[in-house]
Amino acid sequence: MKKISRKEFLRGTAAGAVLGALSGLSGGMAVQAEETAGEKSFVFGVSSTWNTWLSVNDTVTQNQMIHMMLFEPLITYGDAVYYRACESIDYSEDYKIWTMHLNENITWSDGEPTTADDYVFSWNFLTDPEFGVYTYTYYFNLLEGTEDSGLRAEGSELGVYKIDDYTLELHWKEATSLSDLTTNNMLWSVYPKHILGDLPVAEIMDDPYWSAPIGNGACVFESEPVIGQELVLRARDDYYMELDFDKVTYLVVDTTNAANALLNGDIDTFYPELSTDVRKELDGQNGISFYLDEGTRTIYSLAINNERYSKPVRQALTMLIDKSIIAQAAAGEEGVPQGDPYLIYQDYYQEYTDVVDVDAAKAILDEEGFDYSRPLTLACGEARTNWAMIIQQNLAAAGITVEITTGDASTIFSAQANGEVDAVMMGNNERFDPSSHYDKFSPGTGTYTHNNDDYTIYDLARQIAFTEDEDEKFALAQELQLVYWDICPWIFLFSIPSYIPTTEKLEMKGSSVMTLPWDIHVTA
Amino acid sequence: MLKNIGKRILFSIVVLFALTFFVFLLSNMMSGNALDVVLQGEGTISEEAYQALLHEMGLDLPIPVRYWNWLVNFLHGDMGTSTVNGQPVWSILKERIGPTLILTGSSLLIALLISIPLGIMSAYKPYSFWDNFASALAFVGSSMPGFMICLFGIYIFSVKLGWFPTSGMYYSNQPHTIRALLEHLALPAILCGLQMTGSLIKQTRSAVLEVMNEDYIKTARSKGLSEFAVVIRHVFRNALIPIITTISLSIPWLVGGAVIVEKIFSWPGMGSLIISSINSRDYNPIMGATVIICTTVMICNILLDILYTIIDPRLAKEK
Repeated sequence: MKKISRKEFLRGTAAGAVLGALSGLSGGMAVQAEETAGEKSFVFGVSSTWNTWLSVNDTVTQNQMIHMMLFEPLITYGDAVYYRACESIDYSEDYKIWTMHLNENITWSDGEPTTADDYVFSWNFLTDPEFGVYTYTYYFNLLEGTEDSGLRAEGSELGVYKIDDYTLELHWKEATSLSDLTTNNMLWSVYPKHILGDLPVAEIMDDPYWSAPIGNGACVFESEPVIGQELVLRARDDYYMELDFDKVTYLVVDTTNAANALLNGDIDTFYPELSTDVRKELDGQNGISFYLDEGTRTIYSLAINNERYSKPVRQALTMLIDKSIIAQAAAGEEGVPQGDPYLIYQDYYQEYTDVVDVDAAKAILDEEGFDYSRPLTLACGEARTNWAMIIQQNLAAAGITVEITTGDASTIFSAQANGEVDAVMMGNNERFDPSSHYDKFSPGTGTYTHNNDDYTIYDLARQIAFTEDEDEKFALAQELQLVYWDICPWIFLFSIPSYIPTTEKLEMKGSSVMTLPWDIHVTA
Repeated sequence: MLKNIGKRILFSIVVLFALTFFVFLLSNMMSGNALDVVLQGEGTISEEAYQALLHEMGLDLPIPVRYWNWLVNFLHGDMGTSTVNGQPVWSILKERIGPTLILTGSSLLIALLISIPLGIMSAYKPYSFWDNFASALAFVGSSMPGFMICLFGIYIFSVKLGWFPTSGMYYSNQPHTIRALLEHLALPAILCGLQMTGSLIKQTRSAVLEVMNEDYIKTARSKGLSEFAVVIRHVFRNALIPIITTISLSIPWLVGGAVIVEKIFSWPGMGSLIISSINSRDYNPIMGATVIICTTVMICNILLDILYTIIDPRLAKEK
């Protein structure tokens, strides 16, 4: 028998010890989330942590998703408008006064009813300059009694009044439609007056209520949330709608690790969207599938300085850019060239034809006295550099030099606001309502984007918002689409569909986007 | 010696304040501000509203005035609040520093346990299997980008082998036990430690090689001491000072967090806090983290100086 030397013996023992330790640890991995038998629960991976329970300060969609699980929104927007905590709205003739009828079935999770008092209380303290915690109050600046910043003007009353326990009256500075409140955080910024109402405004945030707030939404906290790690919510038994899940755990997972987490079964879905390459790689593996969200598409555009580049120049630039190529580079056959911010699914959508005509574009540029010696600076995120380079090549065909600069969002948009860059490549999740984007293109609000001084889009979009006749709305929507093609406030490039990753635990239905409690369906 | 330490402390305080000003200046010179992050191209507010909000946030003041305000508050024990979530900075830092120390401390321990024995073996037996193995490990640790090591490691050990979870500190929806923490800590600590082994192996090898050629080592052998005693009591002890110096260079990293590892593994530590604060232009947590890291480095440097004099009393006499 071969003698084993002391060294060999020590080496072998060390290796065995390491492997044994690893396998001993890994033995524990097999047991992960033990669930109560029959309980419908799932894990939602999010790329960034929730960081505040002040809904008005939600700066990322992940936060908004979680807040809307805890606090019932008045209305929500998906492929249509849905009434939730608000059952119906009566409008004055000039649309400056809304009478909102609240849903009497909405209660706080401690059993108290949610009434008009709670909204009046909440919106007043959130806009109170004495509140003491900085809030993004500009969401409230449409209401009477507020300044441009959204804070209550000194000596003024905020334009929200209680008529009775379940009726609110909202007074707006100017005619306001539902489109004006798309993703406005004030819709779910409501807090219990019966808990916080007796506190001085400056002391409201010091109350222990904020460690795990009581909400009036579909869920309650299962345990105290841990910022940056996990948050567990349990569906309420006394919620006014039937829910198809019992528990949801939000887990912070870095986007670079989301694919691994899905493959490993650590999460059942993830937000935000994964790239097309990752999606195609994962689809079908380990029971993972991707559900097409027909309620939205992401539309990529160049937000271009309208002061520096006139309408004819923007039209010429549009004629130079081969949007089909960029769309294909971004998403293969699923990428669609766009000339406007409309969803291709909608009935009123008129198909856009991407025409590249270098000679015609050059003729327009020459007529406008375009300065070819001055480079066009284009800013984008790192991930979009390839698309920017296609645009660079396209414009080079007409003799236009494009300088590409990359950076994070804040740097890019600040640079544009300061006039340091001419165009920014942006992606926006667009929705169904043609009148819902006008705010981006309105004169006076182009702080970051365009400095457009043409009111045509604004006027037409507002007309659509206040038209009740569906046929007339349809015709106006189609007219507005043509206006976008003409004015080009942004150079719209292409759109790609939104896909939601899911494991076999989740069932997707309709325009389900997994972000709202009634959209969630966990298989038994 | 006490006089020297006193001078060091005074000098360190001056350096601390200079650093805080420098970091404050750099942070505020970044394009954009917290409000820009929120609005991010939505273009839905007027210029007047934008300026009014900037004024509310105090961001319209000149940088030196803002620094002065921060300094006065800091000297009164107030590190300010986060613009993003309104939480006091100190409470945010308290939550984050523990996870960072757990991760980076474990990584350093693993790196030391691997690097020092390997470095010694590598120097003791040049051109042997151990020397080649140590060189290869040092090469991999130094040359592979951190994010690659992490993502490969997760894919192999978590997804394919199922040995470890992919991210986080604990299992979701389960009690936070020590075992759960250790199971989540193992992979990021090992991968992070692996990145550190490169420089530590090389430093250890170099220091040991230098000492092994000294006359007193030959004397020790000729006195009849065992090889083990020669290596541990004489070689290693004398090689320790440069090794400790190399380790001391890791102190800012220990406290500041392994940014890439924390981000990929969603480990809620200081590194990921600093990155997210920079991205959201949240200046107060950036400043708070700076103070913590700088203060820790300065205290550790002073303690190291004392440690050197213990290891080598001649240094105290020289001073």
